[in-house]
Amino acid sequence: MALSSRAIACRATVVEQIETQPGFFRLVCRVPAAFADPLPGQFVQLRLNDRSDPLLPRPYGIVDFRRQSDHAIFELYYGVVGAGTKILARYRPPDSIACIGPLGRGYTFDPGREAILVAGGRGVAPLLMLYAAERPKGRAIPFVYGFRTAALAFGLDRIEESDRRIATDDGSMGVHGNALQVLAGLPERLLSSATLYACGPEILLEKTARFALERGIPCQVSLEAPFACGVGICRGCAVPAAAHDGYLMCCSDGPVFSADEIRWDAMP
Amino acid sequence: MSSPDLSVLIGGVRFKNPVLAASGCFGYGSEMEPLIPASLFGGVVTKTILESRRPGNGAPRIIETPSGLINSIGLEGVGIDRYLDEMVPKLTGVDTRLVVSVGGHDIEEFARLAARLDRVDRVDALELNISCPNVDGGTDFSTDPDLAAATVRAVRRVTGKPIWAKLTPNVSRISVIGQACEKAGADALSAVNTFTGMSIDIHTGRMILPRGAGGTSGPAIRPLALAKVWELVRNVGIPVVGIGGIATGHDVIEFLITGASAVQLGTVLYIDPNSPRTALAGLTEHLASRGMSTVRDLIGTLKGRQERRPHS
Repeated sequence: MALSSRAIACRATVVEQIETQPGFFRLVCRVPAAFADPLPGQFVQLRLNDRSDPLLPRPYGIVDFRRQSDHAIFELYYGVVGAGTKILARYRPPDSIACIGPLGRGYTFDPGREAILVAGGRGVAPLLMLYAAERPKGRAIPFVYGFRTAALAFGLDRIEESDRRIATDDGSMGVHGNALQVLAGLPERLLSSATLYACGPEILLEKTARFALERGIPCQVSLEAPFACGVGICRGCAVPAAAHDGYLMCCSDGPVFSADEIRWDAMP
Repeated sequence: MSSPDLSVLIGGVRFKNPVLAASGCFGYGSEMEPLIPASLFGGVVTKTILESRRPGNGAPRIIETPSGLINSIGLEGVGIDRYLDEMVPKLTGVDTRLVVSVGGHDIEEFARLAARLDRVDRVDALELNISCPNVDGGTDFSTDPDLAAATVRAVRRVTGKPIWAKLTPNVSRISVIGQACEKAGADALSAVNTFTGMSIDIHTGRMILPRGAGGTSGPAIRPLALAKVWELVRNVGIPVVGIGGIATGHDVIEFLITGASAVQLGTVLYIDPNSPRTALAGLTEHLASRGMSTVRDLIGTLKGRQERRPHS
């Protein structure tokens, strides 16, 4: 798969880094005007330092993107989970980070069907961007969002109250349960006329995909797999394909896939 | 002073500069456009080509380790027919040498592929991947000097194009294999392929890669690779192309001084798209600052350690 010719390599200058909740950060960066408009679901690769450890750049899904006079701004949302995010959390304005983007295949919004967004935890990030792009067009978009506990909610202020369908593991907000239970509880009439757009932990994505496949409704999921390059060259992020005995590349064929493109039984 | 001549000659083929893209790290040569144009390199070495399409290994295929990367891709590839039909034409008119990495499950497959590639004008040289660690029997060809030599000999019979043998570092004496390849008719040696490496998940007690071990690349292996190149250049008479964690101008210069005629950038191409430019700029500056008019004045100039003078 050829690299998206829209991607550029540039410096992303930190404009704002805020710890929204303990261990979770909102990062706003300025990039040159040549940075192409990302689609919801696309990502950037950030090289976290110019040393060799950690060696590989890391992918981060874009939450928001705006053009300003002679530059552009993107926003990321991440939790500190490993060596890479630990370094990223130390960046402060006006530090700059080596960046490549926008990369990958994003969500393809289907205006002919209702839309339901299904987010788990930090997976809310790209769906907030999809929501922000489509909700202003007028139609309600139910936003199913499951997370651990009320204190970890991110971006709720960007979701119309009437669209929110919240679940928490501890019951501190919304339904006591998970996103899938909330999804399954939506009216059948809505479900059968909708396309699902999902992002979150793999278990949630697989269950959401199977839920959609059983009902014969379209579903797009944003997958994660370890990769080095982010552009389809290293062939590291193999995702088993449904259409043949081979693999799709998470970074360049995805990260957003239609649920029926994936051989779920062969997922690692 | 005009900028130094960076060109090098390997197996009768002139490369405009000594910095190449390594097999497996630059696709079939055109996919990284426009982030990394193929024309930056003196040459590009393709992903290994086999007769049939191969789906490759299951996930996960890569693990990051300190300053390193372990891969177990498993020679995923499109196969020779699609390669010739779709990939070769994309490099038409691109100012870079094309070195095709050839694989094989047996010696006959290497020879059949070489015979087909021999008829393709765009192909400048063949690099025999006799050292892939991630398929059954893959490294056998380059851990046994007789098998390595037999592979080179079989390919030599069917092609007039320069043959580079890519060697595994996972042997006690790489020069024994290198000499066997030289005697069998190889024009150059590519050294080295990845080092066998492994990483496990201590929480589950399970291995991470489905095949257990994979091939380690990146800066972690650079000193190990350099020592293998040094062993080879002292023991063979054909050019050696250095590979292994090379990322910067410093690294390129280090391998050239040691005696490599050219180098290949691999893992760094996943990390820093500017690396070919900065490595070449570093090399050019180094030559200019020493008044060298050609990179060939630098190659193989390694000196012994300076003896400390006794106090007078």
